[in-house]
Amino acid sequence: MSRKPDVQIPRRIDATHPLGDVRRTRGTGQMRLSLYTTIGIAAFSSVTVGVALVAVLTFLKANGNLAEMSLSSQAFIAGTVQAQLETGLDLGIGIDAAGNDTQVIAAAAAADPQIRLIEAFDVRGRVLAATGSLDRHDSVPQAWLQAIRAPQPGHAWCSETSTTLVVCLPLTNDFGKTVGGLAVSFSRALFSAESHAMLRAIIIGCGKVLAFALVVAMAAVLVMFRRTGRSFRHAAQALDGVGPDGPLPPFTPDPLAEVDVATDHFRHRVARGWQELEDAGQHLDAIGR
Amino acid sequence: MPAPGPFAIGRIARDPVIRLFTLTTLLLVITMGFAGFYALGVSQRYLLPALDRKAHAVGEVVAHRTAMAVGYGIPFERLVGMDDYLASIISAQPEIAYLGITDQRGHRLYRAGLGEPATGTTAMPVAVKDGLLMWLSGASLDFVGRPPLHAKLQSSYYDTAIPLRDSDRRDSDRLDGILHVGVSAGFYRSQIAEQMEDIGVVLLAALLIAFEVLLAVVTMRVTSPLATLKSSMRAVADGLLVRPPASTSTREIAHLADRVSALVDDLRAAFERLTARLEHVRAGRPERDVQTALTRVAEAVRAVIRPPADGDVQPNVDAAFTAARVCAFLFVSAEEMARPFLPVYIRGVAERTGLGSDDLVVGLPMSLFMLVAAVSMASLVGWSERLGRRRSFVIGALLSSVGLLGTAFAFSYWDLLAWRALSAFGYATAFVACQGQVLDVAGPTRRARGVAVFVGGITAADICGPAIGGILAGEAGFSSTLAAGAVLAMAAGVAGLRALSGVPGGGVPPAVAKGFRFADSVALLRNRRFSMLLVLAAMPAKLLLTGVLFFLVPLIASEFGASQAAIGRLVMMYGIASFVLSSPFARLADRWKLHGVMVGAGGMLAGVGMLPMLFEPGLPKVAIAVLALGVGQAMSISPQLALALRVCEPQVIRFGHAPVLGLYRLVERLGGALGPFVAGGLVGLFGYANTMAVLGAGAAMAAVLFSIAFLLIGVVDHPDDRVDDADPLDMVDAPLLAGTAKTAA
Repeated sequence: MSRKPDVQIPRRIDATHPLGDVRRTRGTGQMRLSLYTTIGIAAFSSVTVGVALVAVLTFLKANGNLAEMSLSSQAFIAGTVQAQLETGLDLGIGIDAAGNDTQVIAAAAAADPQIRLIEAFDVRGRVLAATGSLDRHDSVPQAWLQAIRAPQPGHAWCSETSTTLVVCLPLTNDFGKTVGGLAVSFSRALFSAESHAMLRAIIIGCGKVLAFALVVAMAAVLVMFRRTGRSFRHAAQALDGVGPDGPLPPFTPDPLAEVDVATDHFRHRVARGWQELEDAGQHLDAIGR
Repeated sequence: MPAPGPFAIGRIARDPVIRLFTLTTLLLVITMGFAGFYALGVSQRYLLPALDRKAHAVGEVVAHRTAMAVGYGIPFERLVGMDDYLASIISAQPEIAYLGITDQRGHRLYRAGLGEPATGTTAMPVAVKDGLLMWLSGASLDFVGRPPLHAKLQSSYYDTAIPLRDSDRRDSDRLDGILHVGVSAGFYRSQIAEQMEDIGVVLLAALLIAFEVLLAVVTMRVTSPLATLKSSMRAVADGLLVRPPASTSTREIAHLADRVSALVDDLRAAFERLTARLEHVRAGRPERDVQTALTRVAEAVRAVIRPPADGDVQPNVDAAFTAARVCAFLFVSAEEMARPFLPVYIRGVAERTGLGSDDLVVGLPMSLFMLVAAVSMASLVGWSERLGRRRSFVIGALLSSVGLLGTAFAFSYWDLLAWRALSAFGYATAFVACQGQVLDVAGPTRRARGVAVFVGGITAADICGPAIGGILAGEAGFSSTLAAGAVLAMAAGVAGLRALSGVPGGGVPPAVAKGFRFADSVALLRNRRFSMLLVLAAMPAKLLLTGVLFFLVPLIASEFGASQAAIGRLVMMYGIASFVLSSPFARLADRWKLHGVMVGAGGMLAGVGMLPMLFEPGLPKVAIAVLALGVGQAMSISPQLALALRVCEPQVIRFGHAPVLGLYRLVERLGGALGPFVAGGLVGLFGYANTMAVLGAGAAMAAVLFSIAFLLIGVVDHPDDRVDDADPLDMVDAPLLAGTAKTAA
């Protein structure tokens, strides 16, 4: 009986290269990765998630510490200016005695290049003395007034934007009465630069760790799954030439490899099936005569 | 060589999948450890200069004041009150470990700071003891390179030396003395310790994530398609002409499957041609001997090969189970990330809205979430099935994501309520889709395994979510963490798009009834055992979970000063207990038929664990309460479900599993909805700690009543109480026999 195949056998795909590039199976249009690539990517992705978590969390903590340290330094400096102005108040020099306040804050601003603006204001928010590169307020924001009216002991009120940090402190006289406030605006340029540099360094360092992990993961996966991949290729090769024509091609299955064992049984049954069909066809020919 | 037994250690060790998990674990530990070490060094590299600048600024201020005093004519060696002044600086500036002033010859004149120095000639305090944290700090800094500093490292302190000069003197060579400002090299020790704890927690979470990722990839791309292929090949080896179904496998497996399919297709085509020819001959040759011969030929062929009948081959469903697990893991993690801080966040929003910080107000959004989820889950089953699991999951994930984002940036308490309700609806939709995927493909024989795989993903999320959420919240804030949860929910949607079945109904007849019917539930509630189980076990368990773990623990821990990361670890303990102990307890209960005992004992343990909060409450007692809750519920939750089905056997026979499970779940979730509300109400009367104890006592009492009730009435009717349907004579004579028995008594 001559076999007339009705079904197109898909073009055989060369799967001998362990890593290979992506191949498309015929007819399905589906992209398929090799065993090693699939598992290697999965292992590497897991490691990437872990390392990324560590990097993000460490950076966030360090950035928080850096911000706290900067704020602490800047609050200390603002506190020093506050102490100097309050010394003047204790000596009976009113807050609106422009000469004294201007001298003190000018000296403070000159001593620290990060200071962009220092403003001393009264309880109504009127700025009485100011020095710095930024434009001074005519009347300070409401939030500053609230900060000096209800100060938290041991904590300096602050507000920040992307470029500036403002520390606001009350000015109290000898009787404990708040007679005004002090607002010191600091540049965040140094903090931002350090923060970005820290992030860059962490990313680069963790990137190197990941590169190492990628190499190790792919190499380990190749070694661990080499036998499995070989088993699949071996089994696929064993099916070449199985059909109605001629004997079964030789194949020595690995008894420990379930795929090999299943393939061997499969081949034999297929071969037997063809044989049986051929015999049946001959019987039908005989009956037909 | 004989094949090794299935449990031989050698075989397990040789298994490439086991080796893959081992490799990934090792790789994670090494890379995360090294990344943490490196990042620690980098962070110190930038923090130390900031510390240095602070020390320098402090030193300059002290130097200036000293110079002013000397400028007023006060002798440098007789500055009265200098020690107190230096001490006041240190108390206000915790970064500064010591301040010391020496004269020109190096004799110490004034100091404030750590202990007494070994000699009187230097201002250096006693060196800080070396330990692991100090070593880590130094080693990581050395690895990345130390930054340039004003200060010099001396005996574990960074010492900044500032010359002290009279402000009026023009002679810059003349020094009155030197001011030493000391910062401890171990200043960040506590933060390094915290960071190590955080990295440890993140490592655990990353291991779980890695496990889920690898499980998903290996199952969906390798083991499940391979199992399906082998099953098809074995079926062909048995003579069934089965074509392996299409799957998303790796290239090697796909290639092998293509070869197998081609050979099967060829053979089947030839078989069909032969069959057609045989029928043609049969039609043309009616003689009996010819018909007999033809039949023999057909039977001979069919004995070797034949097309399969329906049900001949069971498809491998591991890929579908794992897909549901991964999707559940992702979307549940998204919600669980908010667990450690949600009540605190809600309180903040309520205060901003002017509603104050009343605990009922805080509990309401959480109760609303549970209630909407409970009601939605009961009613979305049919819709999810009609729409298709993939589409309904993606819709659920999207809604959940939008809800989380809205919660993150809520303007007021009222829109927070709306966003939580939306999140709950999305959560319920996604949950029903995942569960439906499992039930669609599982069938009655594999349902338990499928549900176990699915629930495993949820349990893993119960650990990862709070762990990572707590740490993130502490560092990045509540809104950022909620937004991260929203992103994760979107990622869950993308995963569902690829992994879940797009066929409405899953392509198989539904295994559960559509929806939830009131009539069935009324019939079920007449079963007293079932009602008692619901009221005394199911509802209290969930009420305790949501009221204590979700609502009270974050608030109490926050009051005790715990960081968000620490609260995340507390909540995580519940998940770990569930993860580790649920399966062993469930197996124990199944093996020894101890379902009732486990439910009662577990409920009592969970409740009693809260009672120590009555006596000097603190974080350790909160931890004990959470652990007891985790262990107790690990003991009781799975046996509860099994017990429910057992006590409802007649109803299961009559209605099927679905109404029983549906009512059970609904009541459970209603208990969950009540939890934050009840807790919030009690807090106003008893305070946080006592409320926890009261809820625990209530749950323990319910467990005791449950145990007594089931001891008295049993899990099933005693045989003597049952009417024997098998013997009609007994039914007819029953009143007579009963009367006889009474007379005899």
